[in-house]
Amino acid sequence: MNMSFWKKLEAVDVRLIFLVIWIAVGIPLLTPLYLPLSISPDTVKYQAAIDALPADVVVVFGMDVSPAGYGGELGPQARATATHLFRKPVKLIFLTFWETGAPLIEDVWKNKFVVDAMKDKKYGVDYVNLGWIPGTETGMASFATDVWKTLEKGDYKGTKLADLPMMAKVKTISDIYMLVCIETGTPGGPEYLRQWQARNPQMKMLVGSLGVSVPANIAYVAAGQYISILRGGRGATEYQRLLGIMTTADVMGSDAMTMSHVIVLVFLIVGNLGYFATRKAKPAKT
Amino acid sequence: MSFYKRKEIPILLTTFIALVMIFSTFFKVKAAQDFASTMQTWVLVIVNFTVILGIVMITRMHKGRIEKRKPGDNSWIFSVWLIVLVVFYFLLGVYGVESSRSATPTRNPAFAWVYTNINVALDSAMYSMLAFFISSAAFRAFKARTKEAAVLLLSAAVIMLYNAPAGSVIFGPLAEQFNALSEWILNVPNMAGFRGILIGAAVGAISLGIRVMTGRERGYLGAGE
Repeated sequence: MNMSFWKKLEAVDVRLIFLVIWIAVGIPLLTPLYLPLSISPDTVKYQAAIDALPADVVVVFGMDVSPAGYGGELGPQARATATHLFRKPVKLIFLTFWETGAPLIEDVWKNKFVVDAMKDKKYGVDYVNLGWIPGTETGMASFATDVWKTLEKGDYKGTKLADLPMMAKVKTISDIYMLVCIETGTPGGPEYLRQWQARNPQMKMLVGSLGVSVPANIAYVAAGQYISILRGGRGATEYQRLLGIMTTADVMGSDAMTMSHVIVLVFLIVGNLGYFATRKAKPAKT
Repeated sequence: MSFYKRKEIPILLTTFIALVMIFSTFFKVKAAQDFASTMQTWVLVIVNFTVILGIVMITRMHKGRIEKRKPGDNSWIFSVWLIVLVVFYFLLGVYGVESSRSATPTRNPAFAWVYTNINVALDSAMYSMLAFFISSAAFRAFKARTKEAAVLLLSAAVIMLYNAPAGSVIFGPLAEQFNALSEWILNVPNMAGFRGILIGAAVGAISLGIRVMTGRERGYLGAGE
């Protein structure tokens, strides 16, 4: 191939790169491509752990997310997890140690699959929303040692815990059977491990994480501290597929994510081909 | 030196509380555990006051930028915009608590609407712009200039594709081998590195704790030392 082609490619206008990614992501957002999908073992284990929940146990749903994380990868994870949990005969506690996560708990409840799953559930009896607990990791420690003292303000509506029947048997972390944490970052899974699982080693943990945090979190899965992990957008899509709750919008989002990854990979390959092609042409150093 | 300015008092307080907290973690003594629980509740209350402090500080900082504006530099407009939004959202929050008669303003439809439809959308948009910058960086900067860079590049490409929803399917009959390679990268070299970082950070945290308790680390007492 003509060497000038690679030189031109090396000096390509950055706006052209932006345009290519814009088109590649834009097409699946306009019309779903229904790209094929495999299911990873971690997602299967995540689903199986929720399926295996005994009746009437208390499960905490930690909505520890930022708006950016929620808007992308974690929103679908949270909605799928909430749908699945509401289908089970367990007691659910929604809370967050991220002030940005508090308004999003009710947003999850607005999802049509979640609405269907929770239609027979009664607030205060089957599920509660404790809202934002301040203090990050110290807040977690406080909750672990004394739930009622930590939440003297009551739940997110200000209802005292004494008026929420399901909270009667939730006094400390020892009363929690499982924690499902949808996390953007710190505080998240590792902080729950230190403050909750260290105090109650029997407590099971599932974590839904951003794709970028998976390499850091995978160590806890291998150690057996997390039962399993949902891996970013891919994990969310796989879980939705397993639960049969994938909408066209979810397919579009998933396809767009795949396309963006593929395009970055193509740019990596082309960029390196150009680098090697032009490098050979350079005179050797004396 | 004034009694109140002496550094020994906060150091003694810090050391005493730290020792009680550590003791209450390892020994089931009710008095110590009650004390630790009360301290943790105090933190929850203090954190709320730090939010007020944060609002005051950010307002002061941007007020200074507006006052020191120079001709031809219009960036001070963003400071005005920031202060307007801080005040607006604060008032909306107060109104939300009052109007919804709840513990949090998020019950108020106006507050919730602004949050879900503006904050979430804008924050997601900022995050998604990474796709453009990463693409540009992938093409222009991420080159296999050395053997180490080549290994990094290859690992990054494999894991990136593995994290994509349709990533492994692209490889068709080789999908299983691709998955195995991705898992190996994540579970062996990646995990070894992260465990090293985690253990190092934990040892560092213990060292820092000891330095704080013995008064060798005084940065938290304020500037100057």
